[in-house]
Amino acid sequence: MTALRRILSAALLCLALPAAAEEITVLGINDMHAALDNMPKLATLVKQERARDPQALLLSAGDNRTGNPYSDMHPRSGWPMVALMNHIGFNLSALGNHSFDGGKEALRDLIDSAEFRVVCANMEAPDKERILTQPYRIFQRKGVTICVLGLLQLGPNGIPDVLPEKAAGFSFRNPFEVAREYKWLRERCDVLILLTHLGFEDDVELAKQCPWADVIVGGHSHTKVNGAHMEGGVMVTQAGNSAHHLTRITLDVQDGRVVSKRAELLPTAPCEPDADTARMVREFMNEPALNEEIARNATPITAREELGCLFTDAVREITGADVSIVNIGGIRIDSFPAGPIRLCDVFRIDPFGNDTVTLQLTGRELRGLITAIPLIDHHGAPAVSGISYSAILHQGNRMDITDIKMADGSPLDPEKSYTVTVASFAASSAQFPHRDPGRALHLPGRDCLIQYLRKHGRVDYAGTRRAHITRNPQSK
Amino acid sequence: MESYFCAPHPQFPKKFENPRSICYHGTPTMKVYVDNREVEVFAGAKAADAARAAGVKCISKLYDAYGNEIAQDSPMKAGRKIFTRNPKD
Repeated sequence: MTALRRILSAALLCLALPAAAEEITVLGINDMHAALDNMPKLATLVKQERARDPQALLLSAGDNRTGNPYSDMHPRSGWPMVALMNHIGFNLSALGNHSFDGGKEALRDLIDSAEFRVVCANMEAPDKERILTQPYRIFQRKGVTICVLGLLQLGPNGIPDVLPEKAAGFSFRNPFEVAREYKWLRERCDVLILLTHLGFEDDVELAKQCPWADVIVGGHSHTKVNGAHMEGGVMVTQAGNSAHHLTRITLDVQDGRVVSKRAELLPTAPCEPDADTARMVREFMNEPALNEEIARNATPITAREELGCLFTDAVREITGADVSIVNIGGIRIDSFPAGPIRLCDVFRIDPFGNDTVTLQLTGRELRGLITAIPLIDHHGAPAVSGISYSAILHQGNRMDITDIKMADGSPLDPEKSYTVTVASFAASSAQFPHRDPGRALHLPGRDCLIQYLRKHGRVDYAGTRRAHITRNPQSK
Repeated sequence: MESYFCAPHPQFPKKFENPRSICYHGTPTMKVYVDNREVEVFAGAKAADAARAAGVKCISKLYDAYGNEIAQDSPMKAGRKIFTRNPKD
């Protein structure tokens, strides 16, 4: 009886004591932007983390694609990144604004092909498109219920930062409102994670509005948060971009709630590349699609300005602008032989992939923009489409325009309003009087060039000159 | 920089009428802050664009208001503050 009493007492004591805390590991990454070169090292780091905790959850906060032609220009646009994420063993991804870049079909294909689910609570796809995202996903790890809710940023026009036609047909709601509507998830799980593509500053605001969440794994702003930012009791994390870092979040969960949390930012650079992943990357980078002929050049191009005229004609035609301008330093080769123009050649012409900015400028303001560009681009006078101009270029790249004509030969009207496109680099750097600060189209000039070449098939820009520059090195 | 933006100028239509064009006007101005200096940039600008618009010649590292390092292609939004030196130092 005494032994029995002892056993019973011990059993009662165990019941009275709280359960030991379970340590839950969540690995967060964001904005990988098709950084294929870094994926082998990321794979190694994830393997190491899973050796520590085989039940670690691996989450991406969106923008897995867009940033590398070997992924973006693959016949299945964006597929290489999904394939690599499948291989590494991602558990879940949020939608990012760049998820829409390949269009609806590409998005559907990527979601269907992923071995991980995609969450977004504030987006609805048109029914007929069959794009299968979920608002949240629930995981069980070590007896702990973990719920992950996805949220996507919206720009001032009510859609994500993407070319509007790519998001046509989708409906979006304010992510903060939607997050608050999902407060009921708090009662259904031990750990509540918001997997967001909002930007760090908005994540901090979200933490204030949703103090019942445990962790925010964030993206979009490419912010490198060392460890975590605590806002109230909510941990806010973000791991930079391009798979240079991974955030390890460790949560101690006891009796159905998180009792402590900590985070560490882990760099991928010191890791040895994983051999299998590296082999996959090499295969994707041997993709023949980038050697696809998309047009033919009729006559050898021998001057950068000729390529600049081709580039600006492409942007002007695709965007429908009146005038298109490119800083000549944005055109990175000086010549092009007659013969095939391949997809990879476009990336040699424009490796920067600057966004296209549209502005409404008067003729006077347009003259000011053209004059200002040589001061920020030491390569000299800009290339143009829709107009031609004559100017004197003085020492120090100061330029005086003597004449500007429209493509039809009529003079530029200083008072009339023109729609002008210019590369984002020039739009931000050029200092000139103008009223409209402009708007990015989320359409890189390079993409316009690809569309234009595919449409026309044959181009001939040899001898095309629209900037007639007289150099005057003696002037002040 | 003489740039300024007021309420849409009566000369500028709210929407560009050319059916071929994907450019349209009417977006509110985007004012951001670089090293606590107000700068107007085009909507959709990145952190490096804002720094350039503020006259920063050599952009090495950029930081947000919390002292986190941000990438040069970090998207800006109206009212955002970025710094060329860590504001927490």
